[in-house]
Amino acid sequence: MIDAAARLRRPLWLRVYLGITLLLFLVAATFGLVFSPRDVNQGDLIRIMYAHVSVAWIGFVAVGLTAVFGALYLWRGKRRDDVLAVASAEMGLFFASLTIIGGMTYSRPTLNTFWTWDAKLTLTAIMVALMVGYFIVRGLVEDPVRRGRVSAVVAIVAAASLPFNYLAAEWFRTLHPAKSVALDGSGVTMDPTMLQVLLLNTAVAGMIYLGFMFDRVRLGRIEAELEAERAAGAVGGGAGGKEVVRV
Amino acid sequence: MFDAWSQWTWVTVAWLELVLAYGGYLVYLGWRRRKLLADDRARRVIEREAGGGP
Repeated sequence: MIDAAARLRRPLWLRVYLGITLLLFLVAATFGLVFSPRDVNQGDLIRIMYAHVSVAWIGFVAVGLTAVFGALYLWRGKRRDDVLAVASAEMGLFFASLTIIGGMTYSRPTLNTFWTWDAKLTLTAIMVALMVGYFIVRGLVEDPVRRGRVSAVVAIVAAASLPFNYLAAEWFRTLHPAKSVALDGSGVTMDPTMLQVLLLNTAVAGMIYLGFMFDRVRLGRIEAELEAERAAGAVGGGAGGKEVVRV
Repeated sequence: MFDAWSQWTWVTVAWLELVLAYGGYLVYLGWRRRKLLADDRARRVIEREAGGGP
């Protein structure tokens, strides 16, 4: 007999991966907190930037990938794509919320306010609201196929805000600083050591995203399978159908 | 209140937010896992997927 508890436990490779990620997180945090030079204007507050910006970038990636998986679900209709989209959406909401909370912690001592409704911050708040909406929609729609399709559209709308969010500090007068690293390679206005520490922290945040995704997708697949079984009334003597596990 | 906070207090709070959030998400995943385990039908699905059930 296969033990369900053993099957649900994290596999060895995932535990090793998460262990390595934890070690790298400690290394990256040490670089940010100890080895990074102080900023000429911000002093030691620059050390918040490594936590805030790395998480923000990965949040953008997570929301973007949610839209990609959602689009794949709209195109192919495979349940696996919907499971991936949900896991990534959870990560997107997680990292975007962490971005706002970290940004407020960074903003208060540097700009003397926790929050202001400027373009960049407002767009980020809208993105978080859309990701919350993603899960509200999923809670409201019973039919799994329809639920996957509707939430995929919400994810695509959320992802459509990403380019505007990325460029908001350039296009509008905002309290949020302009970007110091241009993705188009047009320039980096950041100390090389600081840039390396930032990239290290971003890589670790990316590893955390992947580790959480792996774990969440494992559970999501089982939950989706269970829901399909319940809908078909094939499990538990056909009593199912009413109870639905959301994924 | 916040005006009295030193730079290092803000730095510590910002990094603690990350640690708490990552730890909290792992706790949440554990809660989802336990919820599945507590469901008899979920256990049967898992065992059947593994080739051990009916």
